Amino acid sequence: MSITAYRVVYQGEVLEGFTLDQVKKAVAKLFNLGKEKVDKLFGSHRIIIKSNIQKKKADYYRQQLSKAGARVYVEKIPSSDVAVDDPSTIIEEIDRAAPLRNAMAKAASAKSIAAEKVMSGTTSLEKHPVAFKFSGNGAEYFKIWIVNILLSIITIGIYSAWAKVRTRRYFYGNTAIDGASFDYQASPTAILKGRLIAVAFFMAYSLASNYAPLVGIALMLLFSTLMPWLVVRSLSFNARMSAYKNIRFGFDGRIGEAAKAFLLWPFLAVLTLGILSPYAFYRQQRFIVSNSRYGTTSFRFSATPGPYYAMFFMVTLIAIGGVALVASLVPFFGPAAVLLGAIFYLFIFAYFNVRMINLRYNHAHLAQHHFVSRLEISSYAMLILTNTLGMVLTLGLFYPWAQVRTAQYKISRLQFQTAGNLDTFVAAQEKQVSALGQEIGDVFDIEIGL
Amino acid sequence: MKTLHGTWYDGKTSCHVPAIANISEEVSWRILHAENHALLSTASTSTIQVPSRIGNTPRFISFPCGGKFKTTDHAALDGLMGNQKSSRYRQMIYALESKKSWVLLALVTVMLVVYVAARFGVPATAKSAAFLLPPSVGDLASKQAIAMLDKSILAPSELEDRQKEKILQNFTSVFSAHPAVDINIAFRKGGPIGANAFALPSGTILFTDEMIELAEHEEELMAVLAHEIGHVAHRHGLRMIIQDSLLAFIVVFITGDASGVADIFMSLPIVLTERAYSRGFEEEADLFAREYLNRAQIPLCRFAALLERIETHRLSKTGETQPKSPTKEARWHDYLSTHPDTKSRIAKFQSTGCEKRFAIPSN
Repeated sequence: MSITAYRVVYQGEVLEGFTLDQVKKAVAKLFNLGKEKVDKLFGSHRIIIKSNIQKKKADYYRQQLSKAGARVYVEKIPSSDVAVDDPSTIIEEIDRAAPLRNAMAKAASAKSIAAEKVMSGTTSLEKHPVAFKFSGNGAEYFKIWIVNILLSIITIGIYSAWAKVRTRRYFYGNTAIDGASFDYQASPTAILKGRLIAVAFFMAYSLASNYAPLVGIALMLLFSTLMPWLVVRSLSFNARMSAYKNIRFGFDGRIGEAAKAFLLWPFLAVLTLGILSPYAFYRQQRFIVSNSRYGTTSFRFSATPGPYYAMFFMVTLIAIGGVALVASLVPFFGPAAVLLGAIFYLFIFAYFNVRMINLRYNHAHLAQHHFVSRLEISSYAMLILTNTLGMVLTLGLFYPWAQVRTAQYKISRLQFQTAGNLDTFVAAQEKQVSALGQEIGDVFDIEIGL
Repeated sequence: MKTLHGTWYDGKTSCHVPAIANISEEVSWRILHAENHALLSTASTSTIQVPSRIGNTPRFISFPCGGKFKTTDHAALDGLMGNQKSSRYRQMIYALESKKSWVLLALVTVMLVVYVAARFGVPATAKSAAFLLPPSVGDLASKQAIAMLDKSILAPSELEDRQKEKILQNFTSVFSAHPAVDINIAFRKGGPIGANAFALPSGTILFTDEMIELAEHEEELMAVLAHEIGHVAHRHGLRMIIQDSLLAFIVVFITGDASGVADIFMSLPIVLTERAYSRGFEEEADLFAREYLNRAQIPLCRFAALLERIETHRLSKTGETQPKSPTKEARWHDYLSTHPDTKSRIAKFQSTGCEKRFAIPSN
């Protein structure tokens, strides 16, 4: 057999925040070990807890033990060792440990199926879906929205920072997975500061571009040079202010990489008359996803440029076909053909968004878990159509419902394929990030976002 | 002692435990494991942070140790925190958001404010701002606009120099009637835009060859010039730019980012409002022209005559034979138009002194 085997090794280390006594007790409880065995385990210089197992299973043991406060290592077993390695260390006790099974089932009831399977040793970890849920409703958000606008007007815009935080908190707080909701933690004053600078810059730019185009161009160039920095700052502020189960998200993208993804590749795309633009788009998505993390666990992006080329090709094809069809029908049907054009526009809009969102999530991985997004073009197009009609017919008052309906649609079609426990993600030590990057990005409408 | 039920997140790992918060004397918080009652954290009320309530979303109470206690027991929590000054203000916002009467009041106020702002506020602000700025601010932009038009649609004028000179000579009396406005005239071949004249913020007024050719009387061109001088004198160009920026600002202010809606349709309200402003400017310039024509004792119908000729010419070019009567369709079209309905404009320029078609028969 050529399958690589792994072993779980303990070298007497205790994780930060735990005392040795705590860890001893937790491990004893976890594996149902007597005092003697625990002392043996903790007294040895290096002990193999479990050997000859697959990587996934080994990782699972590591997770459980780090929860108890013990630092363990997963090692690949050198092939020469396999025969020699003593398979009967502490594993016999562990596998028979009924209390562990119970503890696991209690700690992670949602994941108990997978946990049981592992513990009884029948298969390696199997993935099972956990659905995202959105519980907001339009009428409730309408009230928040209209009060936000009113207070923003009364305070000549100052309240808008608070309004933004309340809006975000409403949508985050209503998005839940595995019984826990997301939490937006940004402070309104940080956002206000960033917003004031951004508005000042925007006003300078729009005045300059109207009255002194050269100064406007200079400002735009300055903005372009600063853009990679803004993108990184914006993404990291946003990520850091988002938390799930009191563990914050984070973003570690470097400015140099951002410059490549948001300046170099788009520039090359222009030079190659668009041939490289799907690739540029792919690089941006990869930059955003793969530099994000939840606590200390990084996201991984497994997409390849191929599907992005397919997506852009289809969009171009539909657009060309649409324009040709509409143009050829205008002489016969007049304004009715323009309506057909609007339908084409809607379809392209829906196609692009659906494909982009699905591609992004379906290739995003977090540790051994991954996302599944199942948006459909037809239902998404209907959603956008009804939202737009609603907005037009109500002079914009439908806006909160449109927002809630869209969130509901996207989130209810998003799943998290979990393998094992979701309780073992670890928080990271982080530095402060100001809101400036994000606010400038918002004012200038840069398309970023996860 | 009061008790809240919720979940405890220690902030170190994503693991969570069902927990209860025991609050004694409203000052000291003890978080206990809901099942084995092990003490998880303790803090005094002054060191914890309770966020304001938003809808029915769970609230995360922050503890100094970095842990968070999540609860949806909103009523009990607000009852507990009610005596604190800082929380009274936060509860006020939720009270506004949760009471129907306040929401209704907010809705009516916002709609009224937006309407008044779009109808009066934006134009008035733009007007005073435009007159505060020196007229030269539009010079560079105007120059660039002409350069751009020259590259795209306009072509050099094919008029003879003699003809141009004659026109300019006729215009001198109009110029001298408006000494405060600095005007210079330019001629171009209109091509796709046909018979047209327009003013740029810098005071450059551009006539197309087609417009000159279509005019049958020198006073017709003088009337058009007076209309365009009206645009310059009222600083319509600058005001338009300022109004556009203000409008865009209002829309962004209200909607934030409008995801979930096909964004191309979001510009519809802006376009409609801009068009309404534009029609207002045209009326203002028409009024300016009428005042001048009356002062200079030029019959008002000169302007009407040229307008109608342009309209007939345009219709014959596009293949429509008859100017449409203002049907329902036409009224919809009016909302999208930059200029007021030509018929109603012509109606305001009725007078004696012109050829049969436009005025009261002169015999």
